[in-house]
Amino acid sequence: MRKTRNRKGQMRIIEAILASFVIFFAVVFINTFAVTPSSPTYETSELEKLGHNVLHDLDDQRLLARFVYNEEWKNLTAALTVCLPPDVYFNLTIYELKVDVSEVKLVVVNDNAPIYYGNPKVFETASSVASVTYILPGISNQYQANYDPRILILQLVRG
Amino acid sequence: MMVSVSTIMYSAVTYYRHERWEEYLSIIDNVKLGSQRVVEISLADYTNTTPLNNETLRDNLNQWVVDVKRAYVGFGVVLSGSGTVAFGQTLYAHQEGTPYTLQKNPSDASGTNLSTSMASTGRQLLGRFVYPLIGITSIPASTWIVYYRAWHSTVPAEILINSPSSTPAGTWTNPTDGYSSNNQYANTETDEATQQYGNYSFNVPSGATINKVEVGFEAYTAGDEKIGITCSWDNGTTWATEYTSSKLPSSDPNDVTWVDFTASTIWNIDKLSDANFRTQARGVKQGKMSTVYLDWIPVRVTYTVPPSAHMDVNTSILKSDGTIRQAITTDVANSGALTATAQTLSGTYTWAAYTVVDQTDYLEIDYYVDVTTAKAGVTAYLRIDDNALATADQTRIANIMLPSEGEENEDGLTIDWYKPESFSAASATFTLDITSAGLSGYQFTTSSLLGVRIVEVAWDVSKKELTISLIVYKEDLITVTNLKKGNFRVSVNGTDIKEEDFTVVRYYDNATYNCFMYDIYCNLFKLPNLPPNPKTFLVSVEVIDTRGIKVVAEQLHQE
Repeated sequence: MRKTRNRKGQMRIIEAILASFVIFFAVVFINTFAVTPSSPTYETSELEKLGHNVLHDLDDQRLLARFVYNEEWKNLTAALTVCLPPDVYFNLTIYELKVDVSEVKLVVVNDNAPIYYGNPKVFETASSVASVTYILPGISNQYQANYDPRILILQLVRG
Repeated sequence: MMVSVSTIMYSAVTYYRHERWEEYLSIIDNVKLGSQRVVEISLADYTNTTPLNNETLRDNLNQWVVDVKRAYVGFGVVLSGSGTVAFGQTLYAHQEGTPYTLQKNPSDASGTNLSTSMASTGRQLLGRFVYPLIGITSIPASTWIVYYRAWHSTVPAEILINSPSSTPAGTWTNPTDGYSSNNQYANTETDEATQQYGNYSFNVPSGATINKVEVGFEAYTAGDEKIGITCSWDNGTTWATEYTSSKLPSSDPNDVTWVDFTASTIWNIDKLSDANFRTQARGVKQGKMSTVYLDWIPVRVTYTVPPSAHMDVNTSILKSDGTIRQAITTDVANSGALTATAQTLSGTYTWAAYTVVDQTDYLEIDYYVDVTTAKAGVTAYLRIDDNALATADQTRIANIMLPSEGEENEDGLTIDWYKPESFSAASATFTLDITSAGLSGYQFTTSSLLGVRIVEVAWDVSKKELTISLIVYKEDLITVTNLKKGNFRVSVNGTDIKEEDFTVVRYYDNATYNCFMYDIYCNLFKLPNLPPNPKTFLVSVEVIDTRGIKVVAEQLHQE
């Protein structure tokens, strides 16, 4: 007597594998589109990453401390302008930590020389402004070595 | 359904791509780089302040942890840091003690040779050296460079004297009588008649160096004749310039006259093979030709077979009672081959981190010679503790990570100056917590190092110019290449050399050190009280790098 074998189960497995492939490629596809989010929250996050990377790279090359402590504001503005994309406006404020007897004050160092690029009004009207905080402990070079921290607040917005 | 699934997936990937932890990574980056700068600033300040203020790093660290918290208020950033110093140092092999000792100070004795026979193959122990681990909690991982001042004794020459057993060509009578000294003679009474001999059957070991090849003759003449002797190394195609004897004796001298053909070609084993090597005798007439008699025409070959060997070490941890606590490694840091000339060989070894179990233990390093081709009568030598040798030629181990014992050793700062190899170093270990991100106990260590090694001082009496060759390196032994003249201060015999009187040249040395080096050319014309032919120079070089870290290296140079 001849037995008939049931092969329907095998087809189910193949279907399941094909379905998982479809889901996988869908995730990859959507992931690609997720790079440029339209949400203000995510836009801010992207700009913060960008801002931090720029400051970190400048610091790593020992340029940031030189610009800040030698008050080379024009060079600092130029460096940030070159490093950031043209459609990203920035406004950098540098603070010095002043410790009084009982309180710590942040005193703006570049009060008379604003470091910015783009229209300042954009920062007031933009729906999302990213803010990056970066701390520099001091400067050491051939001529000086001082622990004298500065706190940098870099605001970024897409123009 | 597809729309719902897409929405969920979009939300998921967007969430993970833009989660706030990326911001915390940025904070970690900032804090780590800032901490590195704090250590550098502190070391620069420490090395440039007189007297040394060894509290500067501690003060800066304390302030830094407070300021980081202020800068990132709202993130729950808590940083703590403390100074620790452990970095690559050099241990020199000293002859004091049993076993011998490893010390941080260079050789201070007249030196001694550790030796062993190379008569048999295998590893032979040359000496055991120990370093006490008192005050050391761990020896961090690093790549050691083990230097050996080593060589082997002169290899005794070996001599083969072989006779021919064939006569490839010739017209002499009874030519085979020239095979041995038996008072039976090959002879000719024909002017210019030649007789060739071959098949000398030399069995020279492979690897041998052939030092001398000589052809002998034992001959006489009935008249006034001479004999011409030559040899060929390519089966008769090329012949050496023939040697013509003076007038032969009138009877058998029973003594061999040797003719040296060493310079005729660059000899090798193949040229001495039966297929290639042959000799030739020629009767040379003087006046009326009479008979020339040849009793024997041997060939004498002098050669040496050098042994083959290299140096290496075993490492272990020794208990105070002399027993082994832990064998670490065997047969590591292999050097290049030993030669008959003393040279400074080296080998590298990657030491894995070791946590000290008991501070009464010792680090033990055993020096071996590993003989792969033995040679009786030859001795291997390891020179230790010889203060007549330059520092670079000492038997030593470099880049062992040990706590500093420099002038000051508090709070992670130290200097070790006024030596041919000097350094300034600082190190601090930090722990970072960011409570809002759930990060706790993230540890990192930052180190700053500036080292200067004076490798050579040379005096040119005609130009009155002193040349100082030095290597400047920083963390991870990376050579510093961005120094200019303004980064150097030089003094000779206690007198500062003005900046216009010295020149700094940077170059890559690919002969000995394989790294970037600096040569400082000092014009000493203007140096006051310089004798006409000075013999001693106390050279002091101060280097301040672009980070502001200072080191002073010093070397006493004697012509």
